[in-house]
Amino acid sequence: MFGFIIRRGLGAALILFAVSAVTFFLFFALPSDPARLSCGKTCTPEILATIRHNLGVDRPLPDQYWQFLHGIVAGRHYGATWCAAPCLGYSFVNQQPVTATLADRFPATLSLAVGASVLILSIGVGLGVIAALRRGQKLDKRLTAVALVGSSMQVYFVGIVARYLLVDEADLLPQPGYTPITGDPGKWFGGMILPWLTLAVVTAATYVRFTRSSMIEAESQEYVRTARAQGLPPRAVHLRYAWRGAMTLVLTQFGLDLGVFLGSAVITETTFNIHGIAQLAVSSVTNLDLPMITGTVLVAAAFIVLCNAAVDLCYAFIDPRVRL
Amino acid sequence: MSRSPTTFLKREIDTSTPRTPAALAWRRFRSDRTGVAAGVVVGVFFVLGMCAPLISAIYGKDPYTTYGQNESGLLDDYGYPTGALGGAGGRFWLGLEPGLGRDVFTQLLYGIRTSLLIALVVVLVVTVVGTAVGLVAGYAGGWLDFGVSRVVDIALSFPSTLFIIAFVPVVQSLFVGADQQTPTWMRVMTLVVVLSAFGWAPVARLLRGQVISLRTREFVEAARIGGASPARIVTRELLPNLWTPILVSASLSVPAYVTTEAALSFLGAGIVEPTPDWGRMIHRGAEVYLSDITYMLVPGLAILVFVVAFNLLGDSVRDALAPSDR
Amino acid sequence: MPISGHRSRSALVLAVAGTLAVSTACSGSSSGKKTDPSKPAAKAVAKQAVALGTAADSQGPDPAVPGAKAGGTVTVLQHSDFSHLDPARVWSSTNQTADLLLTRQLTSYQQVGNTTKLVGDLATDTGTTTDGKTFTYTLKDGLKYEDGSPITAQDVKYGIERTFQKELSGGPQYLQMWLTGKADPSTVYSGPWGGQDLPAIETPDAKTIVFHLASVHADFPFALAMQSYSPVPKDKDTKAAFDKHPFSSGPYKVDSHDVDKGMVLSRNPNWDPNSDPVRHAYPDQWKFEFGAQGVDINQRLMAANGADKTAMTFNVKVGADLAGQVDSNPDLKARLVNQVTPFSEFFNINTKRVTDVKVRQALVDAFPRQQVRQLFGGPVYGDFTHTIMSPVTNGYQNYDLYGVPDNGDPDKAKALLAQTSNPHPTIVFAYSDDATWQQAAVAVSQALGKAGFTVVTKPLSAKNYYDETQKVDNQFDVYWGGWGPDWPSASSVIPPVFDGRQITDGGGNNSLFDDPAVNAEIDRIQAMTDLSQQDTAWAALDKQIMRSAPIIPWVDGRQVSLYGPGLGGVHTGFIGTCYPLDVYVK
Repeated sequence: MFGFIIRRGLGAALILFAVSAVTFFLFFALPSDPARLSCGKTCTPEILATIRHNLGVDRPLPDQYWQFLHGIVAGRHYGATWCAAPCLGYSFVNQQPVTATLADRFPATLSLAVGASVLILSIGVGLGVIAALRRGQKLDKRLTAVALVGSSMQVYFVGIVARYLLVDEADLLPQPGYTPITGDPGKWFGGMILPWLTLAVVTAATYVRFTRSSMIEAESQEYVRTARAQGLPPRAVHLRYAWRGAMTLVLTQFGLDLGVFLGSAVITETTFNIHGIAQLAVSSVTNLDLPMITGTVLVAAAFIVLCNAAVDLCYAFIDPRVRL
Repeated sequence: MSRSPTTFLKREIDTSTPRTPAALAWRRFRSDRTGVAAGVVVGVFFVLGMCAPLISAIYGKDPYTTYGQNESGLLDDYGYPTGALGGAGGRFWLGLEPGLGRDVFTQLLYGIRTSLLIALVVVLVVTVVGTAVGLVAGYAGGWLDFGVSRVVDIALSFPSTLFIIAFVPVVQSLFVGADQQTPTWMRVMTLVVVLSAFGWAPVARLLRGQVISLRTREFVEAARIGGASPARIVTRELLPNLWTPILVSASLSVPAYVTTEAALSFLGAGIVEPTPDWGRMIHRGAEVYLSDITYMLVPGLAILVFVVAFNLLGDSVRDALAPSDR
Repeated sequence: MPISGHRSRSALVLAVAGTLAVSTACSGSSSGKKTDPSKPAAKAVAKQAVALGTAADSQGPDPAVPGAKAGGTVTVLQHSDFSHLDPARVWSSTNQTADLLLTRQLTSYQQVGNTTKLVGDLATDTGTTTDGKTFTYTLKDGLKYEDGSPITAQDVKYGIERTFQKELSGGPQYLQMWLTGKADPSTVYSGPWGGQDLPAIETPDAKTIVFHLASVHADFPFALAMQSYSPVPKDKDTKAAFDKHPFSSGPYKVDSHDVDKGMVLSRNPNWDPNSDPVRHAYPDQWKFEFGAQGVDINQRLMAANGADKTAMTFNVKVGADLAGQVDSNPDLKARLVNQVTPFSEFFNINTKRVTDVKVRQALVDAFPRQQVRQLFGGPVYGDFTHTIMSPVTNGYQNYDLYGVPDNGDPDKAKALLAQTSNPHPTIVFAYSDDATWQQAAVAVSQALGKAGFTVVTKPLSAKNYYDETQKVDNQFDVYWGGWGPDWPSASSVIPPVFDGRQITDGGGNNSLFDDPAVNAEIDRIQAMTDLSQQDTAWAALDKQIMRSAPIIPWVDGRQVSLYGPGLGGVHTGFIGTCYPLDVYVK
C-alpha cells in the first residue's frame, strides 16, 4: 500500500510538472512581450522597464521557467515585493501575488462546489437508486427520460431562464452572487441557491443515469447473486450489497468530476457573477494578465491531478488488486 | 461537472433470425421507436442546416441584414423589438434580434451549420487521431505504450475550457495582420484545432483499453503465429472489432462538441460576428434577457432539442450495435 | 481627460460575455421614450459659462440645499474599488469624485441650482495675476486637516511637488508642464522625495503661495481645481500607502479601507463648513461597497431594501436592458439621475492613413451614428453632437457642418467618393472586442458598405484597445475615442486632441491630425489673457477643424443612474459622475 501511494504520488507530481511546463512555455514563448502584457492599463515606460527586469524576460526561457518553479517551492522576489511560497507569479495588473488573489477567490468556488455536490449526490443518487429498484416500471421510465433531458441541458441556458423566472419575475429567490459565509451566512446561502440548483439540475441527471446503471450492474455481479441465492430478502440484497458496489463506482465518477469542476465552473461562475477562480481566469484573459492565467490554469490542473490520484488511492484501499 | 459517458439503458435483445451483424444492428435500431424518432429529429436538423440558403431564399430574408435598423418601427428606442414575443409574427417567424434587428429564424438556421460543421470536423479529427494513437499504443505496448499513456494523462489533466479560452485570442493574433480582416474560416480552424488538441486523448485511452483486451484473444494470437505483419493485424484483425466503441464514442461526442462550441461562443472565445452561431446568440440573449427573454429561449431550446435527440440517438445506436455491451 | 481613464469598458469584454454586466460601461437609459432627450438635460446642466466667482462667493459656507438635513449613512455601490485615492495619482472621474470627499484645493467649483462658478476654496479668491503668468493666492484662516493641524501654503506646494514624483503616476500633467515649461517636466524636477525644491512655486509665509508659470495660461485657476493639486503635509506623506489611505483635508476622513471590498468614511471633525464654499457634508458616514456587477448594483438600487434605501452609485449607469423597466415605473423614474456629462465620444479618422479630406468627409456623411447609438442603449446613452466641444464647455456654439441625418447619408457619401481617385476605398474599423462593439462593427460595416467603402473590421483585445489605437503608427482607419475636458474650457480639449505637435504614442491626438494653421491658431489663442476672448476663438477653431473632418462626432454622454428613495440632492457634478457633495439622507 505504502509503495503504491509513493508511486502514485510521484506520478501525479510528474504530470503536474509536465502541465506546468507546457502551460508556461506556451504562454510565455508566444511572440508577444510578456512584460507589456503584464503591464497594466496605465503602463508607463518606467513600469514596463521594472516589469522586464522583475520578470527577467531578457533571460533565456528555461531559466525563467526554473525561476518560476523555484518560486513555487521557495518563494521569490518581484522587485521589492516578496512573493511567499507557493508563489505562482506576480500579477502586474492587480499589483498582487497570484497566490494571494487565488486564495481570495477560492472560497467562492469552494462554496459553489460543496453546495452543488451535496445536492447532486443526494438528488442524483437518490433518484438513481429509486429508478434501479423500480427497474422497468413506469417510475423508472419517467425518471430515465427526465434524466436524459436534464443531462442535455446547459448551465448557461437553464441558469439564465431560471434566474429570469425565479428571481426577476417571481421574486422567489434572491439575486445570485457570492457573499463570504463569514460576513453574512444568510446572504451567502441566498446568493448561492440558484447556482446550486442549476448545477444540480444539469449534473444530477447524469448521476441518476449513472447510479441506476451501476446498481443494475452491481446486481448482476457474482457476490450479489450469491447473496440472493442464499435467500436474503431482495431489499436487504439491494441495500447491503448492490448499493455498496454501485457507490464505489459513483464515488469514483464523482471524484473525477470534482477534479474538473474548477475548470468547468467557468460557465456557472460567469452566468451567475460568482467571482471565483474560474471567473478570475476569464477576466485575466480579458486583461491579458499572463501570470494570473498561468496561475489559474495550473491550479485547475493540480485539482484534476489530485482528485484523480485521490480516486486511485481510494480504489486501492477498497480493492487491493489495483495496487499491482 | 462533465457528463459521464458511462450509462445507458439496457434494452431487450431482438432474437429473431440472425443475419450479418450490421443488418442485425439495423433491425434492432428500427424496432426502437424512441431511437427512430430521435434519428428523425436529428435528421431534420441536418437537413435544415444544409438547406439553410434555400430556405432563407424562399422565406425571403437572410441572417445578415439588419432589418430592425434599416426600417423604423421594428425596434423601439432602446433597440428592443416592438411586438410581443421578441417581434415574432408572420413576417419574422421567430422575431428580431435586439439591437441590430436581424432575423432570428435565419440566424438559427445558419447557426446549425456553424455548430454542426465544427462539431463534426472535431469529432472526425479526434476519432481518427484518437483511434490511431490508441491502436498503436495498445498493440505495440512497452515503452511506446508507456509514453503515449503519459501524454494522454497529461492531456487529460489540462483544464481544457480554461486553456482554450486563454489560448484562442492568442492564436488569432498570431496569424492575422493588424489591418486585415480575420476570416471566418480562420476562427473555425482555430476552434477545431484547440478542441481537437484536447479531444483525442479520451478516445485514445478508450481504444487503447479495448485493444489491450483484444490483443491476447485467440484470433489475434492465431494471426500473429500465422506470420501476419503488425500492420495487417491492426487493420484486419483489431480494427473490425473496434467499430462499435468507435461509433458509439463518436455519436455521443457530436452533441457534446455542439454544446462545447456553444459554451465557448457564450464565453466570447468562439465564433464572432457576423457569422451566425447558437452560442453567440445565447451570449447576446444573456445580455438582453431581462427585456427580451424570447431571444434567449429560441437558441437555448434549439440546442436543448438537438442535444436530447442526439443523445437518444446515441443511446439507441449503442444498444443496436452492442446490446449486451455496457 | 482621456475617457480611457474614466470608462470601465475595457474590463468587460470576455467577462461581460456571460455576466450580463454590459450596462456598467455602455449605455444608459430612460429619459422617456418619445421625448427629446436634450430637453431634460438643458434644465439640469448649466450650459452657461462657468464664471470666475468673487472673493465674496469664495467665503463659505456653501448655500444650503433646500430641504437637506444632516445625519445618516449613505451607501455607495461601485463596480470596483477606486484605482487611486492619492490626489497625485487621481485623474479618472470616478477617483476624482471620491477625492471630493477627502480633499480640498485652492479653487473649486460651486454649484448652486443651475449656476456653477469657480471660487476660492482653500484660497480666499480664484487668484490674482497681472500677466497671466504669475498667480498669487492667500489661504483662508483656520483651515485644518483631519488631525486638527493647520493647512499651510507649504503643504499646498508639497502636494503639487509630489505630482512630479514618477512613482506617483496617473495624474494630470498640466501644472507640471506649465510650471517647468517642458513637455516632460521630470527633466527639470523629479519630485520632493529626494529633497529637491520646486523653485517655480514660492511660499513667502504660511498663508501665501505664488506660482510662476513658464508661459501665459489664463485658465490656470481652473486647472488648480483638479483634485490632483491638493495639499499634503510633508510629515504625513506615507508615499505608496497614501493611495489607499490619504490624509484628509476635506469634510470626511478614511475610517477603514479594505481594498477591493469596501471603505468607510466618517466626518472630519476639524473640517469647518464655514470656510468651505463648495462642500456640504450632510451625511455622517459614507459606506462604499466594491465588486458587484453593474446589473446587480442596479437591481439593488431598484429594490432599495434595508440599507440600500439610502444607497447610490457614483458612476454605474442604467443599461438598455433596464431602461424600459425604469421608464415605465414612476417610483423608479422619480429617483433617477439623467444628465449630460462633459464626456464627448467620437470616432477618430486616422488622418495619416486617410489623407484625402473628401474620403474623410464621406465617412462623416455615411457613418451610422444612430444605429451604433441604439446598440449602446439609444437616446439615453447620449445626445448626438456635431461639434468637438461639449455643450458644458465655456464658449460652446452649436453648429452642424455636414447636415446629414443621424442614420447616415450613403448617397451623399457616394457622390463625394466619386470625386476621388478611388470610389471604393478600404477602411479598417478597429473596435474593442466585446459583445456590444462586435455588434456595432456589424452596423458600421453595413452602413459604410452602402456608401461604397470596403470595410475591414478589426477586433482588438479590450485590454489593448487604447494602447493599439493610441499608437502613432497604428494601422487602423476609424476607431472610437472619447474626451472629457478637465475644466470647462476648450483649452483642455482642442490642444490635447488636435495639436499636431502633441502627437505621441498614448497621447490624446488619436486622429493624428496635424494642420500647421490649426497649430498656429492654438498658440495664438493660448497666449490670450482674456478668458472670454479665448472661448470665442476656441469655438471658431472647433468649426475650422471639423471642416477637415479628423473625427466623426458622435454623442455627448449621459449619466443615467438610480439612487435610493431615502436620498435627496443627487445630481451630476462638473466631473460628470453623480455628485456626492449635495447628497443628504431624507
